[in-house]
Amino acid sequence: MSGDFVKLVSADGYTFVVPRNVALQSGTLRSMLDPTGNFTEAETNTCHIQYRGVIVLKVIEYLAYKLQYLDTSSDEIVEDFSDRVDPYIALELLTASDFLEV
Amino acid sequence: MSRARRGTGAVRGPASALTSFLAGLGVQPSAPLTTWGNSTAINGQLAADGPVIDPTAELDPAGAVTARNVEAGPSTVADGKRARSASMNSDDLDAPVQHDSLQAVGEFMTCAECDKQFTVTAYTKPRPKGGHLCVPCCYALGIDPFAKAKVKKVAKKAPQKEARTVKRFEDRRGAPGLGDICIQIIGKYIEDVEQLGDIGHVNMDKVCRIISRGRLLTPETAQLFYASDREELVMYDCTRLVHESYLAMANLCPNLYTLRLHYCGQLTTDALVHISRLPLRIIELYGPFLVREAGWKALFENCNLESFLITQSPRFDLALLENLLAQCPQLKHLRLDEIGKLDNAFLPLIAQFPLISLDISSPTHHLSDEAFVLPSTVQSLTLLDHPELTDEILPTIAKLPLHTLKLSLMPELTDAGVATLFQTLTNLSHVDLEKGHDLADAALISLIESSAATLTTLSILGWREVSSDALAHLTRCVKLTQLNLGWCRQVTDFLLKDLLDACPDLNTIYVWGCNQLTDAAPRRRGVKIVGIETHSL
Repeated sequence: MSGDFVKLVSADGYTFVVPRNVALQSGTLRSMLDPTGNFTEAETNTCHIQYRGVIVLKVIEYLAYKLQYLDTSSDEIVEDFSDRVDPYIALELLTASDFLEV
Repeated sequence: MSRARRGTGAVRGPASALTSFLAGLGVQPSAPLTTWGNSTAINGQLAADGPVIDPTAELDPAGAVTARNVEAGPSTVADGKRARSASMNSDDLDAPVQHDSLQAVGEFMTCAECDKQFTVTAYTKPRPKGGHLCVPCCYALGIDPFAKAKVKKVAKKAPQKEARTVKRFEDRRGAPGLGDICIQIIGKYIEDVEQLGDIGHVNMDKVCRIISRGRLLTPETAQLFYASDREELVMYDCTRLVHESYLAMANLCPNLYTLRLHYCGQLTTDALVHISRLPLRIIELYGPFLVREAGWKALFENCNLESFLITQSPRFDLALLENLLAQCPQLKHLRLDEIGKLDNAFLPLIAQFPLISLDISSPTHHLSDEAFVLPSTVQSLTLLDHPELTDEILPTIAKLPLHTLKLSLMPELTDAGVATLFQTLTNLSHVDLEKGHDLADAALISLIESSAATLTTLSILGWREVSSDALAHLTRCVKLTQLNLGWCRQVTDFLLKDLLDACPDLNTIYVWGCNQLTDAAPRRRGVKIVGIETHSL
């Protein structure tokens, strides 16, 4: 079971269990979970992300959105993710997206 | 006439005398006169509709067939004018007549079929067996004498197939990046900055870097970084900022003390005059091409500058430097990098500032030894790309209380000269002697002897001659944190191992072009070794 899901822990202690293929959409998480890297994260399938839970939640939501449209031409995507982002968290989300390479 | 030839056959209006006349000379309208009728059955009916030979007309006594004998269909009355015009060239009758090659329009030719003379028109038809035909013979042979001359179709070349396979990147797949989405949202809500939340100044700088990296710092997003309580503002990519953005900056950040603008190519003189009303002490501009004398003067006059750092300006000249000296005599830091008008005359003036750090790099007019003079207070000196400066300048440098020395791309420096320099210049902490092609063992050993205890960053990139024995002395510099050994050919895995063991503070080693290093190059936790060739294979 643990092979299919990974645990993402936010700075304020929220835990998110997400499918591995969703988490792997992020470059940083992919490196963390890379079994050849010998990181603790890869062994325990748990990644600590130093952002607030609300940010991590939104990032995970985006990762799922990204995975869903992975093979769709950009023109055909009608669902606009920016409708789902509260402007209040936009700046923090920007720094998180930069860190997590999404 | 021309209508008739267009092949309708059945319906045809009367033709004017002019039309008939022109048709006789082979002139036809370039566009169809009517739109009705598009039958293609020409041949059968054309004899009746098209020009006919007046059976009653007698041939010329000379036997020549002229246009007089050939009448346009509808106008059967012989036209005197036409006859005259056609026979005007009667002198040409004596000219030798060729059977084969087509003469120019209006000339006479002999029909290859009936041996009679006729006038060449644009419609003269070739005989299938060679030569050309007169109009009556055309009819006799069933050829339409007035069919439009066929334009030879040039076979269209099939578009050449490209040998390479071109990948079309336009077809982008997948969702846009989260960062792009966020920047879009920030741009949308920029008017209402409170809604975007406060994330602190340090993070704001981080946001500025992220936005600049994508070259997305626009007049809209730039407003995010304007705040009245800001004392320091760094914009990492101002390429897209316009004149108004700089005015807004000057108005919205009234307390700026430090201003650093990278790629500020669109910064105008006016904008700099506005900015000069801020209480600036430190200004760093990268690429202020458009700023003219008035802008610089206002800046020097209004701001009591401590630091004046500019890169790439074609307009900064000697008079402005004099102005700077007069207005800001306490200047501590000066950078004049890639200044188009910088030359030897600048140096005596620069020497009058009580400078702590000085950077004179890549001038368009090369500086020379005899003019070389520096302020005696300089602690940090950068000279980059001076192809004419030689060892002669080193005694001047040796007298300075330096802790940082960068002499890059100065090909005239010699190994012995630099070795002598480091005998007097001691306790340096940052040394950059990149691309000193002639520097080798003596210079390196002398440097290590004098500054081993204090050296923290060192770059000897491009010292191709330096030997492994001399490099081994680097292990004595125990405080090293950054080391650049690029293109030093004698660097081996063993040297790297010794360095990692000897220098506990090392965090980065650059080894581009050190091709003796192998996959087995040693590593240590916390030390980045950048540029091992085999790692990239």
